[in-house]
Amino acid sequence: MLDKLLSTDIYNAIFSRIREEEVCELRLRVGKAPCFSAGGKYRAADEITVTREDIEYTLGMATGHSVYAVNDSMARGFIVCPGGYRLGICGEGVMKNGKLFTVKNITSLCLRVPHQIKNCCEKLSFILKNIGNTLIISPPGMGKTTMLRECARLLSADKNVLVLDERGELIPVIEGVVAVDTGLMCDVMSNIPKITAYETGVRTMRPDVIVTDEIFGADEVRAVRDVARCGIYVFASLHAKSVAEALKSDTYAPLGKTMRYFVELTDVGRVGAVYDRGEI
Amino acid sequence: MIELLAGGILFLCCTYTGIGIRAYYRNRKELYSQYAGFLEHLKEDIGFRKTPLAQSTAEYCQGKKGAFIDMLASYRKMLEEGRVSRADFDKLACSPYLDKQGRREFAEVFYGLGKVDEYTQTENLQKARAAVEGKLQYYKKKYDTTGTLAFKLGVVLGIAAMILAA
Repeated sequence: MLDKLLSTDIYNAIFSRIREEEVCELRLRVGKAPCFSAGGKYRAADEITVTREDIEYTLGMATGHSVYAVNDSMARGFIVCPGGYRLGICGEGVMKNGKLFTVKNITSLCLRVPHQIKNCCEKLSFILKNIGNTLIISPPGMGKTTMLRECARLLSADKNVLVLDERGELIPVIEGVVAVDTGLMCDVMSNIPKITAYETGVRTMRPDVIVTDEIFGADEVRAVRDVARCGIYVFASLHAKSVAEALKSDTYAPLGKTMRYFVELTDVGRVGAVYDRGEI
Repeated sequence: MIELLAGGILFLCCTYTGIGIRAYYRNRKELYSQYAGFLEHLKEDIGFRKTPLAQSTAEYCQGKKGAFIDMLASYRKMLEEGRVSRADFDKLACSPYLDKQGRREFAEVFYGLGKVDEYTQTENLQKARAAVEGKLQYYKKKYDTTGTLAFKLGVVLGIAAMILAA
């Protein structure tokens, strides 16, 4: 699929160095060498330079040459491409009635490759058996999303799991078809603002577990606490260096009382520590 | 006998030429008519349903035939294969029914499709639709007058040639 999304020069330059399945992320910036990350490290294919045409080509292929069809998503800074790839977009914002309407003159693209690593949750088997609200914590790019995806798959074997995926990254859904294995009893609400999705999801889908990515801000913390109060288990992730640092913040401190388990990732896809609430 | 045969052949040649000329005018009129229809269809589709270009184009082509529909089939293939450079669009608009300016206009319109938000896109389509109206009327008139006349002339010339040869 990446061969369709990238112009031939860029594709050849990158994949003469690395295999497709090893790549986690690709970065295209006009006038710079394309970069790719694998195993948490970035490398550049420095014999070529990304041109504006390369960016237009990738954007065209990602949108089916129909930018207007994904304009709402573009205004939120990303689009989900066929194959479940998430394309972050950086350029000049166009405002309309005080809101970001679209992005033009795009200068950078960040292509994130979704991975499904089955059995990456072996160290979390205790949590999955003795279920409780769980928060996975790490800096960006450590594999929180991959781990949550696998948790959703495993939990859905005997529980109704509802995935709230605001940015179409956790469980990619392409034209109504889920692009990864989600297990038996998993429902996906994608591209809905999370605060709305929490309320709607709880009322309409009656989930046993809600899985969601990247809690951000006080409103969302409040929403998570409300959901937990309803007796629904929450599996979520948070950007932070450590559990201690996350809970030091006034915004996220309330999660210390709501969550039962705290999982720290110390390296890409590697569980560093699992804390029970009482241990913190 | 030979004279009669030669006369018959001459009649057929002249009539066939007349039919050919009329078909050319008809195809050109049809091409512009379908092009105008396509722009209308896209405007509706993009404005309300935001249907992706390939799908919208396929929907428009359903049950239709002609030079423009062949052009749209090539266009869909180009989108699928990612052949979307300006040169590709110049090649796409290389129809014998289009003059130099027509080719340039077609290439420009197709090249600009799908690159902007829905408001700008529908505005651009509206402009392109307005621009094509004058030409459509002109080519319709041309078909009614010159095309039909060419066919009639072909038949008359054919009969005259047959009489003279016989």
